[in-house]
Amino acid sequence: MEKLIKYIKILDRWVIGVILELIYPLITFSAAAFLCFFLYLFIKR
Amino acid sequence: MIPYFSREDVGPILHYLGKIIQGIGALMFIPFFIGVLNGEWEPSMDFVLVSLFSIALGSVLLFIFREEKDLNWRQGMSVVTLCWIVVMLLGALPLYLSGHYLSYLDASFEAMSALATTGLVLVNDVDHMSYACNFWRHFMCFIGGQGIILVALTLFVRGGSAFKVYVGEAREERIMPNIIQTARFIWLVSLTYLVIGTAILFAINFWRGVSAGRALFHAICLFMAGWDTAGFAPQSQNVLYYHSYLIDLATAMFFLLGAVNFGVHYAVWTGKPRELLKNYELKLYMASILITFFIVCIGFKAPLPFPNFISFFRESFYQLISAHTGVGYSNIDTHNFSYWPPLAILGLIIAMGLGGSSTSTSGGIKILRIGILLKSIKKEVKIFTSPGATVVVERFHHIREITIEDNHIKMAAIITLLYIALYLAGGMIGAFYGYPFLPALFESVSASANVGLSMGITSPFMPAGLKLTYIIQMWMGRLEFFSIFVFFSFLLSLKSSE
Amino acid sequence: MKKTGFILIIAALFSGIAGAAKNIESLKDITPVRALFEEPSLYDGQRLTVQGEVIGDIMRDGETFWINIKDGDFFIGVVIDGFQKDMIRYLGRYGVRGDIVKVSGTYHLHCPLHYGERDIHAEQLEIVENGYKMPETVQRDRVILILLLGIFTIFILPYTQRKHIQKDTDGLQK
Repeated sequence: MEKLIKYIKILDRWVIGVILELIYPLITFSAAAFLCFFLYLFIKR
Repeated sequence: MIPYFSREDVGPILHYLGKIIQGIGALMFIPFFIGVLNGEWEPSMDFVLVSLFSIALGSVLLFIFREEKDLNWRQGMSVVTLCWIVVMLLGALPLYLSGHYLSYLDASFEAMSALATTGLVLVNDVDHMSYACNFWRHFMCFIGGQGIILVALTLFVRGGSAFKVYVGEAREERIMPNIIQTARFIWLVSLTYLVIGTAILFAINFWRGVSAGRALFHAICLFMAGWDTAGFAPQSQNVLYYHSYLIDLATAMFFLLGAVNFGVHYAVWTGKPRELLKNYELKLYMASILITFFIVCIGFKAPLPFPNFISFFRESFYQLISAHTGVGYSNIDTHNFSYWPPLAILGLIIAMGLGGSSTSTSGGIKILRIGILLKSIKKEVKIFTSPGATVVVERFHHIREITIEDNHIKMAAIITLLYIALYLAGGMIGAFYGYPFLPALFESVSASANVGLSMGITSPFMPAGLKLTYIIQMWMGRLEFFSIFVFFSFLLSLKSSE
Repeated sequence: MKKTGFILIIAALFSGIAGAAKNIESLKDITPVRALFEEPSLYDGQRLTVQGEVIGDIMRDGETFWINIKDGDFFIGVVIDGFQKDMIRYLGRYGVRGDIVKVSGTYHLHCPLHYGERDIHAEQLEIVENGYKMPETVQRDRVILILLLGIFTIFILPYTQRKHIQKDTDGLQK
């Protein structure tokens, strides 16, 4: 039983880890999109 | 010249080489099974033939050099250098037998490009290539990206030798106390994302009406080449084949994840998610992506060659992220670069040259080294501007707190200079063959930093000398020079000790 | 009589020339895909005709479908409808030469509907040549080589198992 709880805790951390890691590309994308949008408007004016 | 090597070193080196060659032979059974499953008899036989040849060759080496001794540093690095060449030559054999390459040199180029996770291709008519052979191209990306040596570490090599060959393959960080555990952790992360990535890409393709078998094949190939920042695709048009912004998005996510230091993955996955916010290299990487993207965007002037913002963002950002992570996937044709202004192309060149994180699947100078150099500049400025007796200390957080020492700065500077020299040398050789300088420099940086984006120079019809140049650049870039220097001193020592 | 004959000859000549011109016209009709890449702005927004082999997969995009046409070393994405999709039977891959199709439609360098893709929106699609399956030929000498290597490997493998492990000297004492 203890071993099972231990494995569940490890698995839990992995799942959270993966989800958190996916946030980092999303932040990069969003920042780049904003930057590109402002530059697009600037170039087009 | 002082002979640091002797004839006694030959035995252990060739012993380990024999094991690795056997391993590659065994791995060729995977494409063999894929060929059999799809009724592709000719390619299946090619794989059995080369597999048996490799196992036999490896066995002969093990038969002659039977001693299994723990390797020292010089031997470890020599094993790495030699095994990359040998695995390239063996991996090229089934490709050459497929008939999709003009020459064995072309097949070797492709094999080195896969193993070094570059992505420059010389294949002809890949759209009519067998599943077995096409899988093998992508699988070599996976093996090479994970590290041929890492594969061997997981399966064959024990103890002290292990770390020496690991470092020889340009992975410096010991993520876990035991090198074998580090190797296994790297596999764990890669296989986890393999499952997630393949599932997502499969779902997108299947939803778009591709048959289940082909959707799975495309998904696995795209993931292996994307995560390992290689850039091969199962079709000639690369990612452009799919005409899907969803595929662009999904692959781009995996580029970024594959270009993250494995130590950061370890920290985040073992309950230290703050590493994502504190890690100096990661923060610098994001800044670098935005800065190089800025350079790319401002390179374009009105009237923009794009009808709207979305097409501008899609084309410019995908190429930039592909360049900076060292993948080399392209959702445009090489001819599109004909309307890319020089400054935008320079932005891509800088991004490619800088590369991704250390101890990841990316190539290039690597962001950690750039970070160390930036910190050292800051330190020197502080020394100049501070009163005489002040002690200036610069530190940063990278998994743990690190204080910058002169040794770090020295190594970072040397490797950076070597990469820049390699980039320029390749560019000059391209110019020597008559290509315009900016495309020649682009292609050279792409090869050396193992990116794989091309402005069109790389083709089966380019001069043999240039093919050889790019093979050497891909190899040197992947192994980060030192293993190769050590190996050549080994060869010279052998000669002088006669 | 002579006058009639003369008129007939002139008429024949003209229809011959007209016929040849029409053939040249219809050959001229087909734009090589290479030209779309080498002269991007020249063809942007133009209605044209391309011809090539359908390769890979047909991929759904909302109500329409994407196919990829191979013309020599150049490829172009074509947007087709359901009816045109049903006309295509062979898709180019290993062992299959795909249908050769002739597509007429508007070419875009950066299609605003498709997030900036280079594409042709097909108005007409015609199967010019049906695709076919290509048979494989297994080479006998490779089979023999496989058998020989197999026997050799089975023979030598047991002799590679003997090991003699020595401790690491780390090379520093040399």
